[in-house]
Amino acid sequence: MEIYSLISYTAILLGAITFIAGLLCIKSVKGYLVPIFILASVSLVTDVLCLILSSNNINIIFIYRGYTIVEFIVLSFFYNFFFRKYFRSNYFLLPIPLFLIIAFVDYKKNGIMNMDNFATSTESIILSLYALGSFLFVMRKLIFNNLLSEPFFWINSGVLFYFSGNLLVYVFSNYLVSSGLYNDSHIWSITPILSIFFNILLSIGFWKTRAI
Amino acid sequence: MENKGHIDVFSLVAIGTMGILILVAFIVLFVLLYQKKMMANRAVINENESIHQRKLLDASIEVAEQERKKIAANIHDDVGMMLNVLKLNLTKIQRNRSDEKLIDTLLINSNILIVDTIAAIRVISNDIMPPALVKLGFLKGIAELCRQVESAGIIDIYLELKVDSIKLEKKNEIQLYRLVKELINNIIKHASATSVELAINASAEFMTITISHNGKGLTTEMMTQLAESSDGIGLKNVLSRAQLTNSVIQYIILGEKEAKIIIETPLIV
Repeated sequence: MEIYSLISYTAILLGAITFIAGLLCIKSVKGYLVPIFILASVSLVTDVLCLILSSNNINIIFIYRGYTIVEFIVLSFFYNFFFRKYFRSNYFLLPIPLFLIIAFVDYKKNGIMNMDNFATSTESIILSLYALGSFLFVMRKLIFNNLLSEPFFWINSGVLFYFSGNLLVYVFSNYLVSSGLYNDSHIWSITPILSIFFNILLSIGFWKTRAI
Repeated sequence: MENKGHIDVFSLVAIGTMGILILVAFIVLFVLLYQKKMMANRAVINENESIHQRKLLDASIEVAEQERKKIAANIHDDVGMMLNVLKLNLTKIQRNRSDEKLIDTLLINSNILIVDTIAAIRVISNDIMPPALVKLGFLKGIAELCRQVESAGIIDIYLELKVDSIKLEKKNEIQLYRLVKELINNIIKHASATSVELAINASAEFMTITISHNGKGLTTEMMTQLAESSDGIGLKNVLSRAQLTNSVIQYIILGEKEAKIIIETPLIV
């Protein structure tokens, strides 16, 4: 088995574990954790669907295009819900229409069957900024007594690692595909590795809700 | 040539991603350590604040105890003594009903005693809850306080009211009245001043009371240090009342024999 496939399967397995962790803690999954549980569920369904379709040699990029939009909207709501009690957090929802326009432009430019590098790059930049801004807010306002016991800390760290880590891959994705490096290099392993890490942090986040 | 370009992009993405991930790891670590440090600092500040609050509470309890003792002593020494003499007079009158001259003397004496007792009760009552303050409000209460201090002849006191009325919370009126009284007492007892000027001004949100005198002054830092010492019960009481009314109090030395105390209190908006 190729190393890339092995990592990808591990990422899917970790996605399932995150979903199960969310299910086990479902009673305490409330407020800002609801969008994360939705994300974990959609992510698992998407990964399984992509696995089935790709094994039948069907291009799966159009599924990821849809997933990117759902992912951005759901994570925007995650920040919106979390900051609701501190300030008017509807600002987190303002970039959604802008993002939809970018996703549409991306679709028009690259086509449905090509990588959506405009949309994913924009998503990565915006969500990395949200995550950094959230850490800045947490540090300045000292809203938590023990950061390590807060689900938000783990989830926000996951968002920051995943989206900032994927930023360069997303920016250069279409270039890498067109240059033929798609099949030759292990550069695509970055995304599933970060996905594994992201899912671990999300699972810890869900698990930490049991202590709240 | 083209292949070299692809490899460069590959290196750029791989090294760049690695760099970003290391940076993110440092950011997360920094957030964790910073939070830990700040929480430790906050715990220290809270502890100090709690000690300070405890000291202020102790001081206000002690002041209240002293006030009770003073009232009890006044009732016992003045009112009690006068009522005892009055009782003796009445007993004497009862026993010497035939001696009209003695009865007249005793009645005159008793009448004086009753007038004195009423005056003493008025003083005690005024001390507990000044009627001018209760009936006419803070400004009139302070005016009455100044009149009483002036009539005692210990110090010259001038009052300048730059406003006709102010909107203070009722519970704050008595606290501020006692705060001003304590400050005037402190000036009389410790500052060796001969003259005090009291000015009250107000904006839409705040009332400013300025007490200027020609005695030895204090700075806010000196006042805080004195209040922290075990002897500074009066000053602790001042701080406690300032805190209760959300007031900010400033002590300023303007010269060798010129000092000022400024109290700024929020008004009902």
